[in-house]
Amino acid sequence: MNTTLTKTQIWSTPLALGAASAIGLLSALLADRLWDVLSWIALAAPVVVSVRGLWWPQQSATQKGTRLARTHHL
Amino acid sequence: MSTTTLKAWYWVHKWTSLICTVFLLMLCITGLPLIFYHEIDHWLGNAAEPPDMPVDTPRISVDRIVEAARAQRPDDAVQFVSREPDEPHVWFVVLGKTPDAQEASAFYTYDARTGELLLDYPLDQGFMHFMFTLHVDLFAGLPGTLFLGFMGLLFVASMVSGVVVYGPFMRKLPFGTVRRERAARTKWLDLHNLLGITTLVWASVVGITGVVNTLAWPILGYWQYTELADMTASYRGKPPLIGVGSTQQAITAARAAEPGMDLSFIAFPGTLFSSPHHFTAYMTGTTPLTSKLLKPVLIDAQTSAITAQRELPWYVTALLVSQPLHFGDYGGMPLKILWALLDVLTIIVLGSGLYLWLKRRNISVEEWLHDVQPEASDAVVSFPAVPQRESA
Repeated sequence: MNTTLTKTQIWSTPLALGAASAIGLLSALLADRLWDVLSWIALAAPVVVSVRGLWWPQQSATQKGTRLARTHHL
Repeated sequence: MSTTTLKAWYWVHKWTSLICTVFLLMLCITGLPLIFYHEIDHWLGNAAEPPDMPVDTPRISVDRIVEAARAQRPDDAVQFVSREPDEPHVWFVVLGKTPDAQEASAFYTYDARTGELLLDYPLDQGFMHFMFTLHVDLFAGLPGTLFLGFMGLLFVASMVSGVVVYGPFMRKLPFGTVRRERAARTKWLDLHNLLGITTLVWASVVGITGVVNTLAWPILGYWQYTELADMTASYRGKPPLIGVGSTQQAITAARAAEPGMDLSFIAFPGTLFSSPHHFTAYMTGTTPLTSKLLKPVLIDAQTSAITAQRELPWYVTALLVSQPLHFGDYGGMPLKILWALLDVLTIIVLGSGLYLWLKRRNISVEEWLHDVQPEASDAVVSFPAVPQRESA
């Protein structure tokens, strides 16, 4: 079993969070009201992901790998 | 990426981080209350509360307010008169020991309708002033500011190198994995990677804009030396002013010259933001973005005639845009709270980085890469970038 991740698997979530952060940082700067709200939602994304990692961490790769192996009869 | 390249990036990440971490921790901790400076000032009673009056109550001439401020401190010079869009009923007056002093000697708030002195802001004292000064210059003036700017550059370098090493270190771990069942050090390595990559864009923007802000005085000095000097070239060599003309007339003239804009502040003759012969009114736009920008209008201090007006050059505009992006004060209270949370997360990234270094083991990058893989049995197959001869 080789579980080496592809570049897409490694980078898709960080890129999405980076884009959300950039939207959050810029939208409130460029316009008001609804754009402020968009800014709060977008900038909350990295906070939510970080807090989830701190308090409710993902299953470890080992457990996940084992489970995957079991379901796929590897 | 070859192991040699990865090792080099890892070395950059380790050393840039180690040098700047203590200062960055200080900046993050002192910056936390500074996000809420305005609210804390209100809470401490250091904010003027102008009394309620009918909306059509006329405003008195700014000249009377300037006279009142001069009467309060006859030995000092009025440097600036300013206003805030969200506090329409007050004028702020800044005085200095001399017109071109860098430090303010008084900061008064006057009721724009009655001319009543509402607040003599307590300068150079208190908890927030301590936090602010530590954050801005370590109590060491411009050298302190520039030093912190350099630490900010190292922080940016540590983030760039951190991103470069993130990829190879995450080859076996799905995003968000925190191996809690393993040793504490492994858990904190995973959290360092996770929090570091999720807060990356915010931390980079606040870091880079912080570095730009440390260059405020050099940037403004260069602008004064080149553009402002050029705008007032025809006045060079003229005898010094005998008596300064009306501030109110200068403001009225500037408003007439820029009808779509509003006054941010007016700098008095002889101050660092004007010339010896001019008032300089700094006008702002009325949209969210243009309200952060300034356009100087020069007014002859004796005749109140407009003598020059032009947009600020790109490098001053960059400084002005850097300020809200560093302070997080442009999207209401929810944005400030998010700023505070991201600041705390950055503290955790810095702290965990320091912890990982203190608990370091004397192992090579190859061994470390080996270690981040989920199952030991995978190790041999997995990392093609590590040539076998080097680990032998």
